[in-house]
Parts: sequence; C-alpha cells; structure tokens
Amino acid sequence: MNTWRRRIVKERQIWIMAVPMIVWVLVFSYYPMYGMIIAFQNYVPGNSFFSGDWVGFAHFERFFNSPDFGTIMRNTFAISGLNILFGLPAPLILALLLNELKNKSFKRFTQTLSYIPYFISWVVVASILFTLLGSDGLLNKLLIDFGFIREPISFLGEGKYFWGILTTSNVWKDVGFNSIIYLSALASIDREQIEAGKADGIGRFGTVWHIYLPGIRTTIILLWILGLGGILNAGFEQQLLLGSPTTAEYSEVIDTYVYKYGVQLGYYSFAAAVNLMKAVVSVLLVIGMNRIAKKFFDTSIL
Amino acid sequence: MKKTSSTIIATALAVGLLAGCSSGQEEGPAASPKQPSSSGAVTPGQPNAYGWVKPAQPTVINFYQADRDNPDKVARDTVRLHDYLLDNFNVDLKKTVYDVDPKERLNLMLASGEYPEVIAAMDDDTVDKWKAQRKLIDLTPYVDQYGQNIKKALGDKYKTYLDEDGKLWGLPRGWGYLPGSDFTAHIRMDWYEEMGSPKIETPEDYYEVLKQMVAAHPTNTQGEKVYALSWNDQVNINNVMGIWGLKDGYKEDADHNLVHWLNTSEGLEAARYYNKIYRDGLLDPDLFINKFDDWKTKFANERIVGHIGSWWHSWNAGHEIWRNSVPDYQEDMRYVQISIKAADAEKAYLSPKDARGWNYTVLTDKAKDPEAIIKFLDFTMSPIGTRLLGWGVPNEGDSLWNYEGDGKWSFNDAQKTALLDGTFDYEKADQLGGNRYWLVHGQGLLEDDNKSTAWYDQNFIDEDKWKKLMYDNTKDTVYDNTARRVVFSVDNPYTLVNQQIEDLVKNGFAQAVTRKTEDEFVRTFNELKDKANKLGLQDLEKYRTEEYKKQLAILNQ
Amino acid sequence: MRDYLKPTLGSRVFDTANVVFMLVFCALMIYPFLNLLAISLNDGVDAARGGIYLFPRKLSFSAYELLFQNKKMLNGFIWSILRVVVGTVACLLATGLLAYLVNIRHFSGRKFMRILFFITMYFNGGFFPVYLLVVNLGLTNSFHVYWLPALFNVYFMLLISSYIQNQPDALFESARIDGAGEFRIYWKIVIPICVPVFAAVSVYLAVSHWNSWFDVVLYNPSGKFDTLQVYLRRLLLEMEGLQQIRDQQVLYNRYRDLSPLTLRAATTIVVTVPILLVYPFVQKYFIGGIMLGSIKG
Repeated sequence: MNTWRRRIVKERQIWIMAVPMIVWVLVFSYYPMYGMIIAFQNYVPGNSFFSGDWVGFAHFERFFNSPDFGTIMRNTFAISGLNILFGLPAPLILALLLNELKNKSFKRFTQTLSYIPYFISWVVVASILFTLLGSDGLLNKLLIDFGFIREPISFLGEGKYFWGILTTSNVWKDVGFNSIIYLSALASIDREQIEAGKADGIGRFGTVWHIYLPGIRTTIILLWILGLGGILNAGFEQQLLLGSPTTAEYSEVIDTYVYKYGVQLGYYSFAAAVNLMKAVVSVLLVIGMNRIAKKFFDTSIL
Repeated sequence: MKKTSSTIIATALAVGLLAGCSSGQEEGPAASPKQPSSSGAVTPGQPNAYGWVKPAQPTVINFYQADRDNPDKVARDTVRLHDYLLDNFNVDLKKTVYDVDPKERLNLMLASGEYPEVIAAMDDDTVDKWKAQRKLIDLTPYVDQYGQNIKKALGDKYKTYLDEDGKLWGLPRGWGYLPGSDFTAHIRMDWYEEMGSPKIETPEDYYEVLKQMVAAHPTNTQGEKVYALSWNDQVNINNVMGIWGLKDGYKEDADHNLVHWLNTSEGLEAARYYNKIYRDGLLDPDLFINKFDDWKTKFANERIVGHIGSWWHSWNAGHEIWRNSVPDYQEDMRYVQISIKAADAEKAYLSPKDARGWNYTVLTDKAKDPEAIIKFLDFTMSPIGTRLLGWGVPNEGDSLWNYEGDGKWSFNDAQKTALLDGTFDYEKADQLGGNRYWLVHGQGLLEDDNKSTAWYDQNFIDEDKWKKLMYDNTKDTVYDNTARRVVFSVDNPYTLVNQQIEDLVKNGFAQAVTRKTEDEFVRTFNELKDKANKLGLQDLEKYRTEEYKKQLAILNQ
Repeated sequence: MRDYLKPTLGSRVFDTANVVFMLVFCALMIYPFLNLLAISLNDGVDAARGGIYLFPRKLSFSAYELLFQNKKMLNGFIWSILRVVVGTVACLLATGLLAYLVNIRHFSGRKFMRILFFITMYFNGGFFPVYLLVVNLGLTNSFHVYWLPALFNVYFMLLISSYIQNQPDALFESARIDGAGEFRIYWKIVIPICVPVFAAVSVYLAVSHWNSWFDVVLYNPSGKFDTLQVYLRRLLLEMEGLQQIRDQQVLYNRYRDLSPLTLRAATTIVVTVPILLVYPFVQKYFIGGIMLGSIKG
C-alpha cells in the first residue's frame, strides 16, 4: 500500500493529467455499457434496462440457428477478407509510389485528387457503377467492341461478380484517404538513413525495402492488426445500394442482416446480441494478432 | 435601453404592416400573402366563416410527425397555412419532422421522456407500445363531447378503431380511399395508335402488342436498345399477380381461405409470363437491379415500351419529363392505363385498398388542453376542414380554391386550367400548405358532395381526359382490402417467418424469371416453393386466413 | 560509369511508368467529381434523362442559384467550420497527451490506461444509453455535443503512440533531467516532433467532423446548430424516407417533390470543395518533415 502511495506521489504530475481522462472514459464509454445487457433480455424501448425479461443466450442461439447463418458468415468473411487482402496494401503501395514522384507539385496534385472519392457518397458511387457496369454500360460496350464477349454481361445482376465489384469500389474509394497516414509516417524517416543507403548503393528498390518499410513498420503492423480485428465489419451501405434480389445470396452480411431484423423489425435485443458477439470476436482477434506481432516483429499495440 | 426601443420599433412596424394588410383587403385577394380574410375580423365568441369559434387563448398544437421528411421543405411549405390558421382560427400549429428513421426517433422519445403533446403518423405497433407504458391518453371522452365531425366522418367504422375496452388511443390519418386504380398495365399511346389500337384483354395480347411495338421501334434516338417491360424496386409481385386473379398475392376461395401465389398454378403462370419475355430477350436484363431512378432514366429515354406497376410511374418518368424536354412534344406521347386479365381469371384484382388509414395521430400525457386539440382535429375532419387542410390557403391570387363562407366554395379557375393543361406549378402550389398538416383528415371522397377529395389534383377526374381514361379503363380492378391488414409486431411469432419468406420470395422470383430455359425456370420455381413451405409458408397462410376472417367479422358487424 | 548508368535507366523507366500510372489514377479518382459537376451544371429536367458524363448537355446554373438563395447554408457553413476547428484541435491535443502519457516508461498506470481505453474501441452500450447520457448531461441543443463526447479517440491514440514509440526515449529523459514537467515536455518536445502524425490525424479528424451529420440531427433537433453536411444529407436521404410509404397517391406527391438530381449534385459539390482544400494545406507538413531531416543531415 505504501509503495503504491509513494509511486503515485512520485507520479502525481502524470496522474493529475490522467485522472480527467479516466473520468471522461468512465462517463462517456463505460457508463453506457450497461446497455449491453439487453442482449440477454427481450428489451422494449422505454422500459428500464434492468426490468426486462431475461432470456439468457436465446438471441445468440437464434442468430447461430438462423437458416441464413452460413451464407451470412461466408459473405462477411469473403468480403472482409478481400478488403483486407487488397484494401490494406493498396494505400501503402500508393504512398510508396507517391513518395517516388520527383515533381513536387505533381505529387501534391495527385495526392489531393486521390482522396476525392472518399467524399463522394455511396449513392453517387452506386449510380456511376450502374451506368458503367449495366448491360449497355461502358464496360460491356468495350468488351463487345474488342471481341471478348458476344452478349453483354450483367455484372451487377450476377452474384459471382458481386464480391469483386464491391472490393474494387471499396479500394477505389478509400485508397487515397488511407494513404495519408503512411505518407506522414514516411515523412518521419530520418533523412540521414536514406542518404546513407544511397551512399551504399542499395538502389531505389533497396531503399524502399531496407529503409522505408522498416521505418514505418510499427504503423503498418498497427493498422493491419486493427484491420484484422474489424474482419466482421464487412460494410453496410454499399451492400444495400449495390445489392439486388439476384445477388442477395452474395451480398447479405452480418450488418445488413442485423439492420433488417434488429432495427427495421424492432428486435433491439437481437441486434445487441450480434453486436456483442462481434465485439468479443474482434477483441480476441486483435489480442491474438498482437501476440503474433510481438513474437515475430517485436511490436505491440497494447 | 437599446433593446426596449428596438422592440418598440419592431412592434410598431408589425402593427403597421398588419394594419396595411387589412386596409388593403378590399383591393382583392392578391394584395398580400399574409392577409387575414374577412373571417379574421370576427370577434372572439362568434363563429367565423368556417363555423369555428376562435378560442380566447391560442390553441397551440405542438406535434411531431413520424414521417421521414426534409425539415427545410416542411418549414417552407407550412408558413402560409400556419399564419392563416393562426389569424383565422387562433390555432398555432407547430409541426416537427426529422430526416432520421421515425421509429428510432419515437423509441428515443419514449426512452428519454422528451416528446411533444401530439404525435402524428404513429403506426399500430408503436401505438400499442406507448399505450402499454401509459404515455397516451384515451380520446373517447373528448371525442364523445367534441367529436361530432369525427364520428360522422368515420361513421360505422368508428367503432373498429376502439380497443377491446372501448377506448380510443389514436385518430386515423388518411382513412378511406380514392376509387381510382393504383397499379395496372400501361401502354404508350402514340405508338399504340400507330399500330391501329389492337384489342388488349389478356396478358398475352399485351405482350403481343409490346413485341410489335419494340419491332417498330427497336432503338431509341440515341441508338440504345428498347425493351418491352422492366421492373424497379417499387414494383410489387403481389400487384402483378392481380392480373391472374389473385388478391394481394393470395388466392382466396369462397370461404375466404388464403393460399400464397407460390402454391397456386396462377402464380406459376405469372412467373412463366415474365420468364418467357426474358427468354425472348424483350425484358430489360437489368430489371431486378434497377432502382426507381435507374428505371426512370431508361423510361424517360424511351427505352421501355410497357409497364406493369403504379399509375404515377409513367407520369413521373414519362410525359412529365417529355413535356419539358422533347422539342416537338405531342399530347398523346404518354402512357395510358389499361386493365388486363388472364383468360382463366374470374376478375383482375389490381389495386388493393386499405380504408383504415396509414397510421394514427395520438395525444400524449403531456397534452395540457386535450379538449382544445380535439376541437381542432374535429374541425379538420369536417368536409370544409378537410378542404382547408387539403388544399391550403384559400382566397388568394394563387390559391387553389376560394371560400365564401356558409359552406360555399369554388375552385380557382386559373389553377384548375393550369392543372388540366399540364402547366401547373406543383412546387409553388405546395407552399399553400395543402396536405402539409395531415393530422386526421381522410383521403376518400368527401361526404357532402361525394366528389371532392383532399388530394387537389384528383378532383377533376371527369374534366381531365387522361385521368378519366385511367379511371374508366381500370374501375373494375379496384377492391377493398381493408380486412387483409395484419400487424407484424415484435412479439408476433409470424413476424420473422413473414420476413424470411418475403426475402426468399423476392430473390427467388428474380432468379426464376432470369432462367435461360423453360425447364430450368420450372425447376427453380418449384425449388423456391419447397424452400418457402419448409420455412413455414403454409403456417403463414393459415395465420393470415384466421386474421382475415377475424377482421371480416369485425368489419361486417 | 557503366555501373552508374544502368540503375539510372531502370530508374527512368520506373519514373515514367510511375507518372503514367499516376495520370491514369488521377483520371479514375476525379471522374465522379467531374461527373457530379457536369450534372450540377445541367438543366434539371434534362438531367433526369441520364447520359451525362463529363460535360453538361444543357447548361444551366439554376441549381447553384437555388442553393445560394438558402440563407441557412451560410449559417451551416459557419457551424461546420467552428465544429471542425474546435473538434479537431480539442481531440488532437487531448488524444496526443493521452498517447504521450501511455508512452512514459516509468508511469505505473501506463498499461492500465492503454487497456482501459482500448476496450472502448470494441465494446459500447449501443444507441439508447448513449443518447440518454447525452440528454441527461444537458448536452442536447448545444455546441458542446460536437466535441466533448469525441474528445479522446482510441484509434488515433494508438497511431500517435506508435509514432512516439519510434522516437528515441533519450529525448524525453534529458528534458526530465533538466527538470521539465511532463506537460511541458508534451508541449515543447512531443508536439513538435509529432508534427507529421498530428497533421495526418488532423486530416482524419477534420474530415470526420466535417462529414458528421447523424449526431447533429440526433442531438441538436432544434436546428440551431445545423452544419452544412446536414443540408446535403437531407437532400440525399429524401429518397430513403419514401421506402416505408405504401399509398400510391402519397408516393406520387413525394416523388414529385424530390429535389432534382442537379440540386443534389450541386449541393455535393458545394459541401465537398471546402474540405478538399484542407489537405494540400496540411500536406506540406509531410514533405516538411523530410526537409527538416535533410537540413539536419
């Protein structure tokens, strides 16, 4: 006890700053967590959170036993997996390529344009995709003109293309914006190291491989761990806008399913149960990934 | 000091303005937008031209309308009617809308206890929830005392709104129905006449005509391919099934037993019809991807010659655009509504009508003066009250109607002509406030003349040749479907089944229609049927039948 | 000589390919914006027929005229700017301080604080409790709701923290030996060396504050603090409000009322351009970081 007190007295400067932060997080983040208990009730909005009838794990069971559970999980993992596979490295590659541009104003121009799509709402993106990929859209016209196909392909109407289209549009939309953090990390690399590398004659590729990538390793690992933790977040709005009855088998993911049954039909407890499950899985994944990162890369986010 | 003097100046200005307005009264209705009409001068205690006695204190009705709407537009469109009602009725309507999901908003209001005195547009399910938590007040004592018009307007139906204890928790909005059709088949008039207007009675005739039409116009002016039919997210399979004699997607026998279309031969035929058009390459291949906007673009570009769906689709996407964008626009370049019926069907049931209204207006426990509120709601249910709230501010230059008092009223000829000529400015007219305060009035024909309705543009059926044509062509296809209403609430065990089957059927129908051969189509259809029955479609049929019979019994009491 | 030429040739090929790639990339990135611009400059009725790609078919400025007649837009613009400035600066300084604290090696609460905040990244009580909290704290219909509930951001804490980790610890230790307080170290040493990451995080924060609209409609229903984004959302969401409607006459009226495509496009342009201007301004700190290093070298 005494050692504790002594430590705190010694660290009082830090604690004075830390206590308001702790108060903030307790009030704004921990206090509302009582809401999670509705996952184990049949909650009716307006009722007290503690007076509902308790149903145990019934909502979790209902989710696992629902007839579409298999399809939903497959789609969620497939879409998320593709997003991680392409969406995580793409901004890094873009940042590295931008970094190699010699002309400063061209670099600035490209960077600024690169994050425009991030601001365009999915509604607009969907309508552009529709005109581009429709049966008489530009893509089909080109494919027919160059003799690759005879009949137009209904890209948005056939399930097998759905994941690809979704991944491409996700990457397109976010690549520029997500490259910002890598660019800022690249800026922190010591110029001396780069000059030293050049003097050693390791070449441009070598500079990237031996100096740039290790220099921003912590950032890369951090972002990828957090990205994997979000594997159950496969998107929502884009599925609703790009999906159709003919592709539903490939577009339904956890979030759209929860929205339909949990929010639209008013099963709040059910939605809460699925969200709780998602949170637990995400945290386990992040902790697992963190372990691996610690072991192999000597980097930890916690 | 500064503040006081500015207040005095402002007050003086306001008084001056008002005085200016009332002195300009004789000069004619167009003098000022905020001009109190002759009834405005009535002293408290005496009825005004509408028979309304102004309360000494303004009746403030602060209400949230649970529709997702654009608050800026609502504010813009209600200003004039608000001021008119305040001047002439001493009623201060304050309407709030949000552009977020209303169900969520209502739940937050319920949870936080921050809600207004009156809530409009609450659905059955939510009314039950609020009632259970004792947040609503029973309206029967007030209606019994002040609700002569309410009782008269609802007539025998009034008792169907009471709960098992004889209490009334909400007044219906938009009850009753217009006798016109909602859904039907459409044909492009100028091209149809070009073909010599061949007879169309069955879906096969209709397809034959569309086929020839596409043959005559294989591409539009930009060289894009033309299709016979398409689909959008608003087209409902159930309404299409009406052509084959099914009622809102279900086949009904003489004893009122219901069978879902998947389990009928008619359903198979209807799906086969679309599949055949698809296999002939005359169905827009993107039909199940089209959102309404995409469909509208194609339709407006003259790429879809036929349509089975809502009547206004062809207006909104067709001539209402062409009129302003096609250089040599001719009046008959438009779609007309026709009714088709499968040869074996006894009758085409195209437009199901629910007379109960869309939802309810309720008074919460925060209502300080329920009497005063009910008095005004009662007025809006009277024929003249419905006209005022339905058509907006009268007696001004741009008004849709004029009111002389004593129940004597007339339409404004200039606006009426504009409507019939297609030069009517909807956006301007909206700012008169018509139907912008929809609290409790109905949408059917008004009881005093059995002719006019709160929807201004639906008042001139006999004079508007296109509307008349539509009504004449489709009058036999409209039917009362009120008894079929089922409330799928959270605690109803069929809610999930219903939702799952709806999703399955929507996706399965799309898949069946887009099969490349007839055999494949039949197989897909049967698979869909089996899957749906496994999910509990037959139980759902039974449940719907029971509910239907219950409702029929109540309505026929 | 030969040894020197060879990599240069490869290097030049790469440079050319890189520039070509970037040009194609730029075209892909800017297309939707140009498309919106073309639509916004087109006549409203004509635009409904579709088929507008890069240039307006029937030039008209009416959408922009209509937009700038809306006096509330200017108010919304001011609130948006205020929100971005206050929200970004507050969150950046607070989160930065937190990131520094959890990086002080001799701080006993270091791990505890990290985990305390980390958990909140995944677990939350959902919609209702948070709403009730904000209501009970009296934050509704006030400007504070824009910055206070978002004061600390765990994701950015981790980012800044990973950046600080890469810096030599000696930097802070020597300051401590000189007797500097922790807050002073944060202010005088941590912030200056973290300029690139602060710049990047500020872009993310500014953009998310600029784009927020849901908390505005949820917590400030009075409309007094409506931001610019709210007007855009209103137009874009008009269509969504129609999904629950079944009555065809109601639908007809509502569809007739929909803001034209051109107005939606014009609003998107007007709402997007100001925030696009933030990036080039911040970007010089990324390049500046490298320059700083090179001077040192």
